[in-house]
Amino acid sequence: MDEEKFGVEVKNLAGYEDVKLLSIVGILDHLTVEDADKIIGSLVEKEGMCLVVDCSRLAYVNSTGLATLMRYYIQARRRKGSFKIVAPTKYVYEIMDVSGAIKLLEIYKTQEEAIDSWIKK
Amino acid sequence: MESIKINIPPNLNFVPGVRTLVARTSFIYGFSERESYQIETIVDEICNNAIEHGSKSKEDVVTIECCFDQEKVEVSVTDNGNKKFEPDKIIASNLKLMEEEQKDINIFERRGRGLVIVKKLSDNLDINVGEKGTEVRVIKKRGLTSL
Repeated sequence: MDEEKFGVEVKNLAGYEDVKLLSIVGILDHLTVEDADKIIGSLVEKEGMCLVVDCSRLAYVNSTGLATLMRYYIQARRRKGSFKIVAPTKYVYEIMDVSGAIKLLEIYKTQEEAIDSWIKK
Repeated sequence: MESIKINIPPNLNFVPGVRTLVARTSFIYGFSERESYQIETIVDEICNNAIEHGSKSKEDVVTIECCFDQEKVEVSVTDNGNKKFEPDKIIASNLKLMEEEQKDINIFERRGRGLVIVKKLSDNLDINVGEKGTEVRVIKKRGLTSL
């Protein structure tokens, strides 16, 4: 098997307590959304937290995974925070487009752009 | 035309293997990497629907059949559940829901995008709902995507 095992990596951004840098790795589908919830679920519930989510290593996402990402976005917004997607692969982006998810999600090409959009708001 | 036929129990654990098999076979048959990814998504969404909304008992079977030729792949997924639904209405209502989400993020429903995705990625989609089960049949042409 040449796929990366599903995981979510979390890092802090020096100097900014309200920003977390995440990286979603592998496949986000029915079988892994619960694992995503264990890590991201609590982060989106924090007040005023900006989550910058690198999706460059997100190899595959289905409608369940997309619904989960959209749920995180909405939960973060309700807590006056943000959930920003960064650099999805072209195929993942196409599925986001087809599903309509891009009309809701904030998607950036680079982590710097995503962070700047929060810091400079 | 050459085909593969796979029977799986109504268990989501089996879907990743099936979708990967069909995607890789599609690539070998000359579909592009992008098309193969789309086919993987199509198979995934249809199988998930069949398992989640169709077959319920452990004795039920979900059957996936894929027929390949030089121009296209025909994917058929059949379950023997007894759900009653109207696929055209579901697709239409989900498209409407997707439009509404743009205007108000509080209108949110977790489920429902799978069939819309399948319809948009396919060249042809047929859903037959019967008393003994449901069959979803998709045609994906090589080099002539609907997108």
